[in-house]
This record gives sequence, structure tokens and C-alpha cells, in this order.
Amino acid sequence: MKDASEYPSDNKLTGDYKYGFSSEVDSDTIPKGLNEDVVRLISLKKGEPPFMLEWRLKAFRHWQGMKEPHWPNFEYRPIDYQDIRYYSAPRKKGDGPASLAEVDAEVVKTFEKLGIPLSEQKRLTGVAVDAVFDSVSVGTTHQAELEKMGIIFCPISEALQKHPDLVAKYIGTVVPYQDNFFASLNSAVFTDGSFCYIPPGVRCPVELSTYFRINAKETGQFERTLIVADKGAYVSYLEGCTAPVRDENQLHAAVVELIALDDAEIKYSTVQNWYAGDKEGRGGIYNFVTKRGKCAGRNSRISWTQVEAGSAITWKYPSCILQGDNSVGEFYSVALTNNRMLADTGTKMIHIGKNTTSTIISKGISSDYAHNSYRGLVKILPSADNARNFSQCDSMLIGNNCSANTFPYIEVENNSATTEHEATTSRISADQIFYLQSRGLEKEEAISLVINGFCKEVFKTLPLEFAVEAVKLLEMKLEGSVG
Amino acid sequence: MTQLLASTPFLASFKASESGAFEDIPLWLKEARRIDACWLDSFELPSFRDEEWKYTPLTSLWRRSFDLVERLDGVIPEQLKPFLIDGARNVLVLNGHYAGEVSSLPAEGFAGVTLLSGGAAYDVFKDGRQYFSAVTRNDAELFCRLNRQFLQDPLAILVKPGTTAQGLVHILNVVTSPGVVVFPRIFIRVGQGAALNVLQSYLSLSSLTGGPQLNVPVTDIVLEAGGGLEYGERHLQSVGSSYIGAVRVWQKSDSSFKSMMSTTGAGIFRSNISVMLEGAGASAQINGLHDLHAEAHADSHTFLEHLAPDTKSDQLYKCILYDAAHSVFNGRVFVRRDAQKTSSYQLNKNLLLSRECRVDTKPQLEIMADDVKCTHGATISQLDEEQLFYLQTRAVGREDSVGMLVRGFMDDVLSTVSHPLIRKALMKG
Repeated sequence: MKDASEYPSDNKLTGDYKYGFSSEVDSDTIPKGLNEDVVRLISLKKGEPPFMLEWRLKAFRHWQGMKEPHWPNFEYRPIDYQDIRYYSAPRKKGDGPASLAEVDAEVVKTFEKLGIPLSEQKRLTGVAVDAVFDSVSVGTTHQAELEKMGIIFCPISEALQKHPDLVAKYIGTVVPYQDNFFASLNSAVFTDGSFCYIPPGVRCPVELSTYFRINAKETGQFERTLIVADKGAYVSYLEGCTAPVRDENQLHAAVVELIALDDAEIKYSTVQNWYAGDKEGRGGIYNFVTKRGKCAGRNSRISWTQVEAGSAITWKYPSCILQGDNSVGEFYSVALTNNRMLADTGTKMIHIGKNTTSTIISKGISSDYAHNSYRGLVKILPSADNARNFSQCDSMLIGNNCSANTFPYIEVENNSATTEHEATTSRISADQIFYLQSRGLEKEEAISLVINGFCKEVFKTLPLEFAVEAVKLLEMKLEGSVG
Repeated sequence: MTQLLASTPFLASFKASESGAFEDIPLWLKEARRIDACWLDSFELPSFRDEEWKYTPLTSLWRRSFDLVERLDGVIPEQLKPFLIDGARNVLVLNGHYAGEVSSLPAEGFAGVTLLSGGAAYDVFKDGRQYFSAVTRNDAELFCRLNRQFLQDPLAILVKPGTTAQGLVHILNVVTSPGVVVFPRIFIRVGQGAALNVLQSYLSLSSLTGGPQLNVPVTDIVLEAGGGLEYGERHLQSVGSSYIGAVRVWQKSDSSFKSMMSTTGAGIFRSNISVMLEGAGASAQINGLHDLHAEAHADSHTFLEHLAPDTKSDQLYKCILYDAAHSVFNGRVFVRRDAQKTSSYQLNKNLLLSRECRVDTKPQLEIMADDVKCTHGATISQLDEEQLFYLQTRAVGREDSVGMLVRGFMDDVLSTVSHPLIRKALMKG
């Protein structure tokens, strides 16, 4: 059994925002601003192969010609892209850490504060962690053990040096550099992230995990994650995020690409708790992320589970391209917004192959002055015979100043397809709470029980420790919201 | 890359035919039109990215040119006779002009119902300026403004408070000639505690005359406290014609509105129905049926805005698609902060009967009040093989079985119509 106390972000359970500390780390940063030289510098610092620089530059040139999109159901203060530091790394001692022992003690301490078991003795938790601090990956645990099975799990910068062919083969195949404004920006300036390759027929024995943290001021975090599950492989991947409390807004524009070949399965779970700003909506992270998975092979399966509890603004649509016949896409989401948080999130299911199926379960909880929108696309192309989709989007409102919106798009071009969509909006009623209290439950317990029931379908798809954490996280965030 | 409406043959064509044609319009409208003209001149055409027109591109429209036509002599063409309804008060609007001399609703009205046209109708519009000039959140603003700019012969129907008009007022809108654009405008005000039944039929006879036509009607409905209206729309348009119409309904407290729209589609068919539930206790039921064959297209945008407490809305839209038909449904339910205890239900069901057809549906909920019950749903499917099999085991041929199941699918929504004459007309299709 894993000890929950050793798990990354268990101390999210108490107080307002426990991850608001920042660490005094000697960091190697470059001046603010963005131009071709910055792109070249990042590539140089990473010691990347030439094809990557080429690709970054193509992305950058393309990005320069793009307009920032403004279609979501919220407005935000304009982002000055020249006022961001595109590279910030904890300074390496000597030539860089050959082992964890060489990582800056302050960084290690930060992760310990966060509960990340980076050091050897804590490996027993059974989760292999790749931790990304500001812009670079600071250490990956369990690497040796995984290597024996042929699993590659390392920072993407390392993968570019050790396995350039693999990266070159897959990067940009799901999210091309021209994809959208933020994905193009990411393609040009991404600094690190995780790379994971599971060889054919291998079932990854541990849950792989990346932990992201933005620490330095005025930096953006642009990480890129690429996960490839070869034929018949299986992997479950977890992602957690926090950031210190800062007055200004920080941009987080990541790209996640998943590729599942024949009979492969990828399970991707996120518990996102970036700093959400204070009660008046000052500060917080802009979480503008492009996440997309491609079920390239027959019988492949990609499953997204997300618990979105942080960020001033969440704007993302983890998607599945169901290309292989019989492939399966799943999306389970709980999005909680409180105070002045804004969220416009959902998914896209693009059915291309025959007999493809997708399931969407989305739960939105909105309280205080927050606005929560579900936006989703189910597209059945003419080739997708017998495609099947089921979508359910439920919203819960707590209080009278928030809003909950649902914008599902359903586009069907094949008559053998069956799609169903349903959505409901309701609230935690004072009656329910009163009833539970009359049965002897404390108010907090009553709220937690109702919320738990509301989100149950999503939580049950999370790995156990994450599920426990997610429940506590919601409880904590909603404390005092129901009057 | 944006293009101005002003630079298209579309606007230029009927603008030219309009010059100096309406000397008798009142001064206030002339003023409003002057402002609209500037707006239209600087209007940029919606691009394919425009959310409102994403599934209904208008590019083919801008390339065409249309003419406004003058009043015709009041002779009912023989072909129209079958479309008049026995037992109803028939009002004929021919090529956008009220044909009073052939309408069976006397100008002085019947039992508390008054029909006004020409200058008298303009006076009613002037009194109800807030409605006439309104642009709701759901309106295709361009077409509302075009209607205001080019409407030729408005009608107003007023029901005295407390009057329950038993019969049916049937308004038959006909476009007879090719290349014609019409802008019908009707204002209906149902007084306090009064009730009325109205059916509008839109008929394009391009099958007789050939050539494209465009119909851009706006129907404004105000239901005073406790007022009730059962409203039907029957669309019999050819694939060569285009229809872009708006129905806007303002409901005061405890009023009830019930509507049923049935269409076989057109080349471009767009119906925007907006209902503003402004008074507490108001309720609206908005139903529709798309029965589309060949290359027909139909796009229904519904909008229900709950502004007051205890309001109720209910929507059911069903679409049946054959051949290469294309159906679009966009349903928006908007619940304002004050509209506590609102209940709203919306369902869109689509039945796909061919490989080439296409459905785009977008049911939306935007909710700002917390004590509400709102649900929506959408389904897209084909006929159930098991049901077909069952019918065949009972010795019903496959074709007949399909027919039976399709009829069952349609009946579900058609049977919501209460007024027998409206139901009969819609069932005949």
C-alpha cells in the first residue's frame, strides 16, 4: 500500500493555497523577450540536434504571422509576449546533475515541500516522477528500473539527445507546429517536458508522473510532453501542477501529444492546481494548453481524466483523434471554479475509423464569481461507420453570482453513427445539506458527500491516490461556499 | 480577408429598385433607415469562421441579385387555392404586399381582432418602437436591418384584452416570381388575458416560375399579461429559394406561447426564433420539425431567454434527413440571474436515413441563476434495426416499416399542436 502522505500534493488539503511559497534558487535565466535569437539560444542551451532548431524556427516564423484567438467565453488581460522570460533553469553546478545528489538542494527541498518523492528512499511509492521546475526537468526517478523493460521515460531534452530519431518520428504528428497560436508558440520556445516511449507489448508496471512547477517571476512555462505507446503497450501517466503566489498573471502554454499504436492504451490523468489568483482575481496562471491524443492504431485506446481546480483561466480541450478502427476515446473531467476563476474547457472527439467509440463525462462546479463553460466537439466523419458517442455534461452552481455554460458541438456526416448528448444544471440545495445535517453529519461532510456523488463517475477513473487527493482538493476549495 | 456587403451584387440590386419607391413611409422610419443605411454600407460579410453562419454559409447569396417588386393586382392565382385553409381567416401576402381585396379577414377585423396595414400599421409600429427596433441576442442582425430598411407593406394584428379568438388567422406568404426578394413584416399584440391562433405559410412557387427567390420576414409578437398564442409556421419552399426569417416574442407575466415550425427546407433556410420571458410565470413551448429530402438545407436557431422568476420553457426539435440533406440545430437557453425557479427543457432528435446527409447540432445552456432546473439533450441515430425486424415479422414490408417508424417519429412532435386546423395543415406538409 502506498502511504498517501508520501504522495506529491497531499498537503493541498489544508488552508487556502499551500503551494504559494517560492524558492530562492540560483537560476540561469535569459532576458525577457522573444525573437529568433531567443529560440536559437534555447535550442543551444539544450544541445539539441539541428532538426529541432529547424522545427522551432519554422514554428516561430509561423507564429509571428498568427493572430491571438479571442473566441472563448471570457476575456483576459492582454498578454505581452515580449514581457515574458522564455528560459529559466535552476543553475547547474558543474556540468549538470549526473545524479539526483547534484541537484540544487533548494530545488530538492521545494519538491519535498510539495511532497514529491524525488530521493531514492522514497521511490517505494511506486510512482516514477519526472519533475519540471520552471523550464527544465530536474530529475527523473525510477529511470534505471524502467530502462530494463525498454521503457524510455526522461525529460524531452534528454530524449532529443539520446533518442533523436524517436522524437523526430513523433513530435508534431498530433499537434503540428501550425496548429494554433499557443501550440505554435510552444513549438518555438518549449524548454522541457517529458518523453515517454513504451515498447511493443510492454505494460508499464508503475504509474509515470510529471510534476510541474513555475517558480521564477515573470517566466512562462512551455513544456512539451510526448507519449508513445507502441503496439500492445500500456501506460498510465499522471500530471500535477502548482505555482507560487504572484500578483501578475503567468502564462502556461504547454503541448501534450499522445500516440497509441495498434492495441495500445494510454491513460492520462491530470490534477491541476496552479495558483488561481486571489479573491479579487489578481494574479494567477493562464493555463492555455493544447492536449491531443491520436489513436493511430486499431483497437487503441486513449483516456483523459482531468481534475481542474486551479488557474485563473483554464482554456483547454484534451482531444482524441480516433483514426484506427475500433479505437476508443474517453474524457472524464471535473472542473471546479471559485472566486473569480474562469474556465472554458471540454474535449474534442474526432471519429475517423470504423466502429470507433467515445465517451465524455464532464462535471462543472461553479461558485462565487466564477464562470465555468463546457465546450466540446463530437465530429463523425463520413468514413466512421458505426461510430458511437455518449456525452454527459453536468453543471452545479453554488451561489447566485457565478455561471455555468454548456456549448456542445455535434457534427455528424455518417448515418450509421449514433450520438447522444445530455446536459443538466442544478445546484447543491440547502435542502439536501439540511437533510444530511439532520442525520448528524457536519456541514462540511454533507457538502463533501454531495460533491462526491456529483463527481463520482470521474473520480472512479483516477488512480486511487489521485482520487483521494482530488476529493480533498474540492472539499477544501469549496469550504464556506454553501450558505 | 473581409468583404463589404456594399460591394456585392446582392445589396446593390434591390437598393437600385428601391430608390424613390416608398414615398408614403412615416418620417421616424425614414430617420431610422438613414442610420441603417450607413450601418449596411459598412457591414462586413460574415466569414466561414463566423460562429453564427458556420454551418449555413451565405456565399452563394452574395453573388446573386434580387429585385423588390411593386404591388400586383389582387387576383389569386389558381395554384394558390389549395394552400388556403377552409374555416380559417386567410390573409394573403403576395410578393411582400398585403392583398387585402382577396383576404377573408375583413379590414375591420372580427370579434376583437383587428388587422391593420399600410399607414395604420406603421402607427402601431411607432407605438411599439422598442420592439420594432430591437435586435435580440439571437437575431441575424444584418437581416433584421435589411427588413427594416426594405419592408414594403407591414401588417399589424391586435387582439383586445380579454378576447378569446376561437378561429385561426392564416397568413399565406407567397412569392410568385423568380429573382424576387421580399421583406414581410408582421406585428402581433395579444392583449391582457386574450388568446389567438395564428398560422403562417411560406410558399415559394419557383417550381412554377423558376429562378431563385429570397424571403426575409420578421414577425414580432408581444403577449401581454395572461395572453396566449398558439403559433404555427408551415414552410413549403423549393431548393432554389432561400428563407432567412426571424420570429421574436416578448412575453409578459403568466403569458403562454406555443409554437410549431415545420419545414421541408430550402436552398438556404434559416429560422431564428427568440423568446424573451420577461414576466414572472410566463411559459413557452417551441417545437419544430425538419423533414428534408434531396439537397434541402434547414437551420433552426432557437433562443430562450429567462429574465423573470418561475418561467418555464420546453423545446422539442426533430429532424429527418434523406438523400444529401443538411440539418442544423442551434438551441440556446439563457437564464438570467433573476430568473430563479426556472425550468427549461430542450431536446433535439435527428434521424439519418441516407449515407450522404449531414447533421450539425449545438444545444447550449448559459445559466447564471442557481436555483434552476435545466436540461438539454441531443441524439443522432438511424432507425432501429430491431424495430424494423419486428415489423417485418408481422408481415409489414420493409419500405412500409420504415414509413411507419418515420411517421411515429414525426407524430411525437406534430401531436403537440393543439389547434386542429394548424395540426391538419402541418400534417399535410
